Amino acid sequence: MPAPTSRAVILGGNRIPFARSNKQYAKASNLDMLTSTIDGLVARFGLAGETIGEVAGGAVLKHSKDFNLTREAVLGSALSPTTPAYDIGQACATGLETVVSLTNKINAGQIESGIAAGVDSASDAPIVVNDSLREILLELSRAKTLAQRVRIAAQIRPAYLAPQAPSTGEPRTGLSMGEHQAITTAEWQISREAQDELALASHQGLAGAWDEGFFDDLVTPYLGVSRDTNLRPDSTLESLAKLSPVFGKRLPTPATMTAGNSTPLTDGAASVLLGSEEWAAERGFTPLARLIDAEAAAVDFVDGAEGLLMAPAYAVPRLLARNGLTFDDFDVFEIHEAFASTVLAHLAAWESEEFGREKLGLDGAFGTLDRAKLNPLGSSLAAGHPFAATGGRIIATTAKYLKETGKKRSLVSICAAGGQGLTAIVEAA
Amino acid sequence: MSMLPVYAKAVLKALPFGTRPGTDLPDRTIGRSIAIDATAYAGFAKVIEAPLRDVVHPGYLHVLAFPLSMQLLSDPAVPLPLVGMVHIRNRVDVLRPVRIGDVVDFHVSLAGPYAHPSGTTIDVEVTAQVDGETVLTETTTYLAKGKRLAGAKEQPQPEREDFVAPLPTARWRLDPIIGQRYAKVSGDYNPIHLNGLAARGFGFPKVIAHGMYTASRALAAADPRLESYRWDVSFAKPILLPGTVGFAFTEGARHEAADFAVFDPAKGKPHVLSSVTEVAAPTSSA
Repeated sequence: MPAPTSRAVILGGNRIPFARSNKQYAKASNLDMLTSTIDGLVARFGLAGETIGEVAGGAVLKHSKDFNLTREAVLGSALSPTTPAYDIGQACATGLETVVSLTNKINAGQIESGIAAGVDSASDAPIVVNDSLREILLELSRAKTLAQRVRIAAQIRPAYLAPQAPSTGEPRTGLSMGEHQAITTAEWQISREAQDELALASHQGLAGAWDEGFFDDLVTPYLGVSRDTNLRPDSTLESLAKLSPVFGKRLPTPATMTAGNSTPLTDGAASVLLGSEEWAAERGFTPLARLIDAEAAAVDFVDGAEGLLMAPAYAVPRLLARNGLTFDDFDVFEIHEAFASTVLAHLAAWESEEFGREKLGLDGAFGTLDRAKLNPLGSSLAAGHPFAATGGRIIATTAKYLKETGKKRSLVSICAAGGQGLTAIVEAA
Repeated sequence: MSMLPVYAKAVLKALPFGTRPGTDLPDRTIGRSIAIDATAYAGFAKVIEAPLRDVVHPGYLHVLAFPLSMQLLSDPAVPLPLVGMVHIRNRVDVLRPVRIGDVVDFHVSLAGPYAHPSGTTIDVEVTAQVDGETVLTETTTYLAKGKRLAGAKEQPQPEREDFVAPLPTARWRLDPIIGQRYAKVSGDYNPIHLNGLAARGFGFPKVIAHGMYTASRALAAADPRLESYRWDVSFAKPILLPGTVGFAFTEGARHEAADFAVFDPAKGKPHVLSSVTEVAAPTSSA
């Protein structure tokens, strides 16, 4: 039972090229990148000075001063300052959730147009003082007399001054995302070769799309960068095979996850223009596709009962069952490559009789998808993954791909921190 | 209440080092009544990374009874020196939830001394009551290593199973000031947790984490959602600071009756082994 009324259509997108962290965008803040990305979209669609129904955005690594990040970006953009905006947070699913949320609002008739966006900087990241110093500073701000202040300040020790750098660690386990995925990789016995092959395919797919000019109307150059800087068109299986493992070195099984088959920390932003069919028609915009339905899932990874990034393996079967679809009904599978082994573990789970029976409650395996339809234009392994920007990148890419190729249906799947996953069906308009 | 005078007294009593004649422990019970203060409890909860709820972590009740334990153990009549005693086991029966604002009456007494393969142990018995109803009982076992007392009672020793380190499902990076932070919220200023020189004086190459810090944090991670339960802890190798330790369940799962371990992820040696078992709540008030 998809949305009763599907008025909302995907009209296009704009992003800045993604750059590896601490390189070209090192000095750009989330606000800078998000504003530039929205401005690029506004320029492409001639929306300067217009009031959009609502802009939804978000960032995973967020400064406390950016409590109203998206609204601030709107105020700094060419959009009318009377455009409302709100922030969303669902870790790496943030970008896709902005699309889902605005689509629902348009379908509900609450708004006629929306811009879904996401941004992340792993370079200009918030650094916080450690808890001991933070407690003392807060106590200090509550102190009323000089004597109290002196007594409280005297508690500060040199060791307290070391800042806490941001990490991709899970708060409840202290393990990084890579360490978590390494456990899943070992459990599903995903080979090094299979991971490197997927990484290579990602680079080749993305390089081909850039060479064909596919991104000409989806990307606006920024700070002298005109292509995703993580892209290695000349990667080979041999060069990937030479890289040393970086995750899973503490496990009893051989470590297989390298910098080549894992997504690097990346800076970037992406946006998607959404509107009702009527709104689009009034402005002469051609609908590319529509988001038909979405399903989120979460797993209990805390004690290791399930892998941190395995939630999409549960969300997709539910989403497809609700819509009466099987893998055979899809022309494209856009599965976010947090790590090559994440995608391969999802595929393995869907192909597993045991997982189908015991975890999904089915009679057997859920199904096998046609690998030729997987991430045809590459994905995060090649493009990089500025956390909240990935959803917008994928939706704009797959919507345009469906329109251009005349294909019908795409499955989008994004895993996220906290054991979550968000999946969606996109159909050509 | 600061523990510094108690430690100072304990050090004095330990001179000259050795055991006292006689084996009888003082048989008095001492007590105090304390209202659970929200701000003080919040500080404790933060350090052990427990969620700040209205129900108080049982490790905090241990902390509140701790000065009484030290007062009894440092009594000149105790035939063993407090300094150098090692906390080897802890058993808590949580019978009723204790909430912020509850006024808790603590009664503390000593039991033993008991013969132990490595020396002599003394138990500190704590009973905590709210409105005359027993909410928690605790037995804290201290070992005086290498000290033998002729009259020490025999006691069956809990069997130590061979520990096989599981894959850690969580990793805790313990910074060097965790000893200071826990001292501040627990009042346990034992210098082996604060000062490298003092730690070396007791044979540790570096400062070590408070055992009850590690145990309380592990219980917070296990987060039992049981009406009443027994929380057993056995302390193995001390954690040197700074350090990184692994945490994992060896039996059961979070929120349930379970066994869980804090261990050295590289060497596979246990630091703190804990178990939570469900016990029937008392039907009538004590």
